Amino acid sequence: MNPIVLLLAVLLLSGAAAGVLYRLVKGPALLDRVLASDVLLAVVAAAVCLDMIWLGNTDYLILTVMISLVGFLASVTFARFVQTRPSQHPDVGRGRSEWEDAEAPSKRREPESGTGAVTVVSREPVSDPEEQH
Amino acid sequence: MDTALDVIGSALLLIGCLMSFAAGLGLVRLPDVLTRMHAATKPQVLGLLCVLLSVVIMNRAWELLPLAMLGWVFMLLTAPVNAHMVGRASYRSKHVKEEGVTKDELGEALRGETPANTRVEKITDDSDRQPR
Repeated sequence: MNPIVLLLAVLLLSGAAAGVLYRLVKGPALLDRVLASDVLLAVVAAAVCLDMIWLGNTDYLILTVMISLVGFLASVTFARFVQTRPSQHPDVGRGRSEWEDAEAPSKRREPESGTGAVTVVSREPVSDPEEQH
Repeated sequence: MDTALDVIGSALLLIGCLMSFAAGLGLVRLPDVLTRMHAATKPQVLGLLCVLLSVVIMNRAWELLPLAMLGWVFMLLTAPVNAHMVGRASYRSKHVKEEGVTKDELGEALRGETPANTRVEKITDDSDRQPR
């Protein structure tokens, strides 16, 4: 392989890892860090592939398969973990969620009868079976 | 033929690394979790495909093409689930910035403000909880 290509690829991957690590350190939320660690895993997979190309072997190909599986498990676990608690950071947390609706049920529109119009009766967020899994 | 394969493999490798770099840049520059997720999927799907194909081509290891594709298919299957879970968790735990959202259909549905042509559907908690 041409060393110039190797140099370019290494520089690009280093830049990628630097940006990802910046986000991993800076945050601001836990989900940003989860996302960044996921991307870091993809960058590491690319680096392993680059190593295989440069050394001319294919020993670590199964490692990239494992990386794609393990990264999935990690980020899904963290997403499940984060889901149960609202964001505490002042910069974020302006999004709407069902907790606000639970606090202010008067905003919810009452079902109109007889007009043929269209209303969806909202379920209570706590008892929504889709939220349970 | 050999040179052509080398050129194709090197180009694929550079494209894959460029995808990783774009993801790193996007993670630094973009404002909130949902937009960063958009950047994060680039090296996971297209970048990984390019780099794995590059490994197969540069090493002329054609017999390992199924294994490489297996790794890519795993990533292709898990990346949407992953993105769904993270996006859902980010919305539910209020990580989404309101000013960045042009149309918030989930928020409308949660508040009961559905669009005008949606079908009426009466949902009670009993029917959901206890299957008859």
